[in-house]
Amino acid sequence: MRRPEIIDGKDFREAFIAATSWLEKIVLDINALNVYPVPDGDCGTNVLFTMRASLAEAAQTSDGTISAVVRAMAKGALMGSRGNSGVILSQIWRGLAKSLEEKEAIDGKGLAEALEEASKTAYQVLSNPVEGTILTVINRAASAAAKQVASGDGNLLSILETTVEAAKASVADTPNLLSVLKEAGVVDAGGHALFTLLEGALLYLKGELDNRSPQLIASSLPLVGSPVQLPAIEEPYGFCTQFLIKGERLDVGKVRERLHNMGKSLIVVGDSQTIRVHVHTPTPASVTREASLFGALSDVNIRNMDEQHKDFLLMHERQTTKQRASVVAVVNGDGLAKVFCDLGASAIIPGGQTMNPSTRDILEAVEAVPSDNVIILPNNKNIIPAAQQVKYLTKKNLKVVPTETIPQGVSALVAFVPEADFETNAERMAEAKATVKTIEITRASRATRLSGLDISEGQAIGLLDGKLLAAGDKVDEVIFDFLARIGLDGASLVTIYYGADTSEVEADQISSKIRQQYPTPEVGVVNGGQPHYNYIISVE
Amino acid sequence: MANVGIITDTVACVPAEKIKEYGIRIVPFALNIDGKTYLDQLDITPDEFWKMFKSIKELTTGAPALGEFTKVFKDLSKSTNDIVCTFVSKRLSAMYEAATEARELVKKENPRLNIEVVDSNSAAGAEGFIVLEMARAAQAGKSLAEVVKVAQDMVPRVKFLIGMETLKYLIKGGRAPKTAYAGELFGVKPIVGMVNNTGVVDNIGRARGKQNCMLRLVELIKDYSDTSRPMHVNVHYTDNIEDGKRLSELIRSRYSCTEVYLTPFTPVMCAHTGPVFAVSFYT
Repeated sequence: MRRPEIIDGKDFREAFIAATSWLEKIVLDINALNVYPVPDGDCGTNVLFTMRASLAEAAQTSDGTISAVVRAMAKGALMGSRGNSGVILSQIWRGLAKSLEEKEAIDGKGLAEALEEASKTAYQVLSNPVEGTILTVINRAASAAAKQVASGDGNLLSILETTVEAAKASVADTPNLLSVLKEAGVVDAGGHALFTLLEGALLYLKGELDNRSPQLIASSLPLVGSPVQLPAIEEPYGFCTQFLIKGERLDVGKVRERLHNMGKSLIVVGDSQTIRVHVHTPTPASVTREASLFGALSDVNIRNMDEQHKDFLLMHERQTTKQRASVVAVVNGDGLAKVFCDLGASAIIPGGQTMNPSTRDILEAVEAVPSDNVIILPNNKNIIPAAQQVKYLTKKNLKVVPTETIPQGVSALVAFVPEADFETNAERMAEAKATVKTIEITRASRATRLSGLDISEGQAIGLLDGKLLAAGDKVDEVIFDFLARIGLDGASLVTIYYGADTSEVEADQISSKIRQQYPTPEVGVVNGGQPHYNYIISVE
Repeated sequence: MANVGIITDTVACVPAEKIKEYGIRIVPFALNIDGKTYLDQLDITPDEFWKMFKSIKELTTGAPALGEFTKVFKDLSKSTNDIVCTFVSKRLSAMYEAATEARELVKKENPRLNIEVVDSNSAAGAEGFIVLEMARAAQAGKSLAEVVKVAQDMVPRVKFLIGMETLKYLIKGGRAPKTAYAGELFGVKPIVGMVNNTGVVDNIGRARGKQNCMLRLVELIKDYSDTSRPMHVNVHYTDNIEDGKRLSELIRSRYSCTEVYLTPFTPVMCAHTGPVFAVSFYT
């Protein structure tokens, strides 16, 4: 097999595609290692997803130079990173990309330089870099590579081999550097994930991937007698809070300064248009409030790190017949959850305060439902990607019906027939979601200019099938504007799901007004209890 | 030789004019309404039934007394010795058993009678289509064995679908398919039917809104038939004949139909389903 002296963008990408599959083989084992900073078990998964995001971006570029490919990978990693390790990994890519600018291909020396830059960048990102983590691994790997080049050996593969060996050794050493690891008797998960990626890339380039399995590095220290007991936590960690800030002329330094004392493990990275923030704080709302002064927040993900119990809410065992498929739906709001359960969903995943469950939340629900064939209804555009990614993590057969709103989810679920086969159900459900129109009404959290509309804070804003198309001082105005746009001539059913912030009286008033103006369709009011959206209205 | 005699029940929804045309004999079901027993279509018409429906407190249905069967057998025996009858699926009702018992009774008295009971494995107008073909064969002078064969050939072909207002009547009567939706979201119309030759009512699906439900029924027809062949259709209505007309219109504009009827859904089935619209069909 080829043993390259230099690699270009295409080689690099192929190598890391292989490396990511390699990582996937032991991702669950790596998840099981994670105890820093809290044991939430998805570090391997975070890295895996970050890599997938990274490779997804790399696949978009037709430019085969290493500069273009790694730049794309860095971009993908930034947007797709999840969790502490994912974000640090994205910075490693950023460092690599910086060093590889303008280059078409690299040799051993180029690789060593890139690794140095990657390590430097990763360290710079953290206000408090911690040894005994992925940082140590990239640091030591880079040093070893540099030393080898200095000693006169510039061969690409042998530099990479040294890198991987050094990474492995440093992973094994992490318990000596970080007491929580020592106490738990495990190596650092993030570091291990990085090592596994490098191992996979090396084996690919050497052509030695077949019939092998990734190494799982055990702690070189004897395990503590009792099963993994987590150290007593003196102060509560609060919430793992992550989000993106989008805007113009953003200043990473300023944002970091502003958020500096608001929690632990603060990471602020990005550029003038997109900044990713990650922090562990007991008061996520104050962090997001501060951050929102800089720009629009998106992809907000807040997870309670103190919670031990499973994140998904309702499980229904369908005892009556053997189900050929189970449906899992992402739903926020007690009333809405009940609607979905009544209609036959086997599990409901709440999105939490930020409406976006983690991929893990979705996966757990998928694993928990009775059938091996599972259909997911994400009911939100932002969740569709996470839902799709669950396919790679489960042995079950998964189909994601890409519902983007609650009404689409309801229509899809109405079309579900437990006795029908998996394929037919998925097809029918996908067709059904197209038959309904969704109106969503909420309040603008700040003044902004969007889609050509000038919106003031507190105004009612309306989305029609997910697009923000209207704003007004009164909710009624927006609703009737949209109803007119949709045209209710052929409509047979209008369903008004009112949210937690809305009173039943108000909802009834609106339904009466609608009936007055449009006597043909049946109009009904349902207590949805959803957060954020005063009304979700379906027209079918 | 006289034509074979044909007997069925009121559940078959055979159009009135066809009953006359072919001289089909009907054994009526019993409707027990608030303690009083009415013979379906003899003592009470479907319209009268619907007028009372909302105020009825207790409602059950059942096969009539054996006497109703023997009466019809004896009556027919005046003109023919060969009789073929078909009734609602024996999994749904005791009619089949009652008929075979009645046959034994009658044959004791009159051993020359040849009475065949074919299980329709179905109900509503689907059963009715079996009856129509039996009747046509009889009128064409076919023998007992041939008429029986016609009936047996029809059994797996005939189907029907029902769009329901609510499942609560089916559930109360103990006949709801286990997986059928029973929740509370307004506007959800369960769809049930007999389409797979199982002999019982199966859960088919559901739709939101009456309009969508009708459209869904129309689309479902093609899943259970061969649309390259001419379609035979019998549309049923309960409390609203306009629904029946609308559904019929939708079907005729969608499929090429060679035989179309519009009939009231038998009160016997309504007692278990509540208000519905339905379509029986075959190709």
